[in-house]
Amino acid sequence: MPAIKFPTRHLHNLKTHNAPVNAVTFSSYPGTYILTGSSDRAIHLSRAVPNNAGNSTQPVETITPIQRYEAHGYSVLDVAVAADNARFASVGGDRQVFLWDVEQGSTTRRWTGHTSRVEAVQFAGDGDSVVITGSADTTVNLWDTRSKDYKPIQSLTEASDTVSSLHVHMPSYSIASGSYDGHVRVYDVRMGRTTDDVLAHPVTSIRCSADGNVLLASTLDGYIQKDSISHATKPRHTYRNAELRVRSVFAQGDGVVLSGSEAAKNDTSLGAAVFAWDVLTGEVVATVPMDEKVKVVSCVAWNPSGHWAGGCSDGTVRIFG
Amino acid sequence: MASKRPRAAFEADLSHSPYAVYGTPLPPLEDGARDDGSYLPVWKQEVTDERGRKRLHGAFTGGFSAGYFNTVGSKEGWTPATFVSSRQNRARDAKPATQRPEDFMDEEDLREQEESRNLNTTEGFAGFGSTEADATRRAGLMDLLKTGGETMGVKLLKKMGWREGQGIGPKVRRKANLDENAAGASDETYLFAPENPPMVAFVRKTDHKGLGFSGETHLEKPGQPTQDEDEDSDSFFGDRLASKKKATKKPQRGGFGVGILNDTGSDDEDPYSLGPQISYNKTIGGKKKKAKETKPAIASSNPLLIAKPVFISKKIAAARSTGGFRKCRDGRLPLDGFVLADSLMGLSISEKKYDPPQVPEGWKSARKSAAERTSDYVSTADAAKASSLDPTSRAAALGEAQLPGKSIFDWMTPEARERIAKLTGKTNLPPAMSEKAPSGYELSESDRRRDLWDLVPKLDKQTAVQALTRGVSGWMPYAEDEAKRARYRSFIEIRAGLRDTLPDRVPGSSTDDWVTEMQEFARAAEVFKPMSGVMASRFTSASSGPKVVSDALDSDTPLSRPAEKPEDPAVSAAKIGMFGQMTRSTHSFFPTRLLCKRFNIKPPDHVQHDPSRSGDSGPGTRFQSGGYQTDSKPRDLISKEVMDMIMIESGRQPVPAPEAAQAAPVVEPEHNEALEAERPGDAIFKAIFGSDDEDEE
Repeated sequence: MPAIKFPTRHLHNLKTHNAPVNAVTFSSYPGTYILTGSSDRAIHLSRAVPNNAGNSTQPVETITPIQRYEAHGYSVLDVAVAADNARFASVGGDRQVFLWDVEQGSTTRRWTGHTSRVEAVQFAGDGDSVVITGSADTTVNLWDTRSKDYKPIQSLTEASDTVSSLHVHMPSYSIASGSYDGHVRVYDVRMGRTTDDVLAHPVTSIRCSADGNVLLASTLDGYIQKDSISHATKPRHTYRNAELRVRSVFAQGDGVVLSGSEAAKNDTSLGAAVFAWDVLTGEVVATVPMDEKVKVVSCVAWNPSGHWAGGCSDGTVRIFG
Repeated sequence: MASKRPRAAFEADLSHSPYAVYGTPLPPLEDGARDDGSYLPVWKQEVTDERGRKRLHGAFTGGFSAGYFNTVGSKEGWTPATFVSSRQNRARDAKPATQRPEDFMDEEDLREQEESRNLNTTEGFAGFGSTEADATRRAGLMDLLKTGGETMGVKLLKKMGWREGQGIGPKVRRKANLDENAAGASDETYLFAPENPPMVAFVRKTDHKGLGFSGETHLEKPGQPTQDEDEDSDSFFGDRLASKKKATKKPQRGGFGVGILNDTGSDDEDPYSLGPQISYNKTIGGKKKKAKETKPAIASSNPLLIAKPVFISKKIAAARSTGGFRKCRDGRLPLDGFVLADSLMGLSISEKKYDPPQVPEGWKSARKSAAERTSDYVSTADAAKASSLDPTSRAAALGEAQLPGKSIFDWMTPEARERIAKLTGKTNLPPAMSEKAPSGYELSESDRRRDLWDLVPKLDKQTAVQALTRGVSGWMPYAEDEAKRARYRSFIEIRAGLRDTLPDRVPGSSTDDWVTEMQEFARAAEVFKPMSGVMASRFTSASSGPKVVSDALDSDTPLSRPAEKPEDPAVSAAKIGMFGQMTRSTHSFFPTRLLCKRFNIKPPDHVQHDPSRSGDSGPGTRFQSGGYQTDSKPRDLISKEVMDMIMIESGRQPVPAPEAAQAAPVVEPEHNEALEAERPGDAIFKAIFGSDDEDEE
């Protein structure tokens, strides 16, 4: 798989936000657009790669987004896009869960059942009819988009600390959740089984591979684990991630693990970087350094068309390809 | 600025009095009313009746008025009582609603009532400096200045123990004057509250007589206080002291003859008594003679209490002071042998008189100060500290023969010495000789083995057995190192009591390495015991369980650390990177029916029954969805009696109910206590049921 070179060319620099970017999501296939949620309480829709990007050597800069979605009262912490690209869901520090209509630019549903900051959101179910949110009130709530019910369908209360990350793997009907209590819980809805893995360190990111056999978990001790569902193995990679929520994803057809990182604390001259590892060997495929100003790359997103984006703490989103 | 403000902003501004620049404006008289006098559009004006009630309501402010004139009353004027349930507390028991006379008045009555009120001062106001019945002065303006009743000062005094009629000040020790005739009957003295000095009464001088001359005696108005009573009181400084009363006997002034009205009330001067009236005084200057008689003021140094300013010559003052009659400021005589000083002059330091005597030159005291004496004294401990001798050199100095004894370090191995040095932090320990024990004292092989046994970390036997059983059941740590696993197995076998040889050790490793490895084994055994062991260890008694482990861990540290809270074995396993069975657990998960519907899957068998959405679960599954349902007993369609009857009809024995079978051991069909109990006597039945009439029958 490493036959394809990992793309590291800086194509596009999005400077639409003026606060740290907390969430980056490409729109569903073909991923032409990118949704970014920031601490400036807005969600911006922009073109992932402008038309003229391929020609110039310098990255193109965009200052104004195509659409701004402003309803959150606190920072936006996560954004998820539905498969049909017609709706997206966002959560934030204001304990709200919003379901948006992309074209109208307004919320179609607001759920207020969480009692604390909501950290993660994912679509699930047949036709993306369920919105799953993980919150600092230690619960995972499942909301029904098809009814007007203000209560969640179900609330999963197994976690004992903030649920920081969620990923839904629909082919196996399972919901994976990572929590700051150091557990990764995989809820298999079809079988009615919960698999509880202890990682002993707060989990900041959880991701299932496309075939559903491998779980990718980032923990605050600075490791990313590839945790097979059948048997636990441990390729571990050292980089700095000690304090903040840093997300990691699979990339290049599950061949590469991509993750943001924090800048070294004592060394101010170096900024944060985005790391890419080979899944099988655990070797670093690429290290893409950001500016010195960028202290954290808190979220990364991979687009099957070969682009990836990193949301930086200086409010920029950099798209490489 | 010039732009027109919207009306809302203008009104918001008005709500807090625009003309009040300083201070807090008073709230508007009534809600919504504007007292700034600005124009109010007609649609905002309100019609109110003379009592300020809103008259027009709703429907274009036309008619509808709630209740009777917007009150809850009725035409008759009665306020309907609130409903009180007569079940528990009757309405008549409830306190009747308080009704004021105003409730029954109409507008005319109210207006009359308003008009009849006029403003005047209360009767309770009293004049300034009121003695009894200063009626003449009451009309003055002073009346306004002081209220009657208790002033704050009086209240304070009363709190301090003062009572009406008493004087103010410290208590006075004097004889009790029970009766004026019996005065001086007993010599015993008591503490009494001081007498009350009367208020200073300012007598307005309206006549042209000389100062102090009150004129001829004349008949007085009955309300006026008799002048004689005020004799001893000065208009400014109040009553003179009681002791002085006797001494100052005022001559009866007056014209010709003395009437009964001149009676001062004292018996000893009878106005009709015969005899020369030596005190008959016709001159104003009669006081001069008395001045000589004036005794020095007693009992108080307060100049205000001395009746009148009296000139005291310096000579007299000097005589007084020498005579020792002067008193201290608190009114007591000075202590025996002390004389009050005339001035502070005598005490001034500059005065040569009290200089200390000159010390002769060259004089030396026979005594020494304490500091000088102890200066060359050195305690034994200090001397020992200062000494640089060590025991051997000291022995040499004393001429003692070298003792055959040796230091413990002579037998120590260098490693042991290093460990001690590390623990104590001392670097100047004698070198370790690692000598062999003298012959006869050598450690036997068994002793040596016992010593080594002490090094083997302790492990609970139960824990070891559990770890072993877990190993037998197929899983054991150190899968990657077969030799280590074997050593681990031997270690827990020994601790489980299956073997009694020393644990294996890596060939060629030192004892320390061996011990370290065994400690690791002990910890691993603690972590990897099976689940039952984990549960058991949660409930260990404070004295036994974790202490064993901490002993093993801390055996090489001098300080005992408090036993750590037992960590979840899964977490500890994850921390050392042993992922797998230990860190993974599976539980049941009960997705709701709706969730399964949304996921478009067949719900698992144990799907959680959602009570709020019971409508979408079929009647057949209602009682079988299991899981959380505690009441899962299938409901019988027919009651058991009916069932039995059907069975009997069909010629079969009814099946005994399982409930009855369970209850069988309790019921004894042959024996019924109620029936077989001894029949009580007739008297009891009679007492309960029977009347006398029945008896006769």
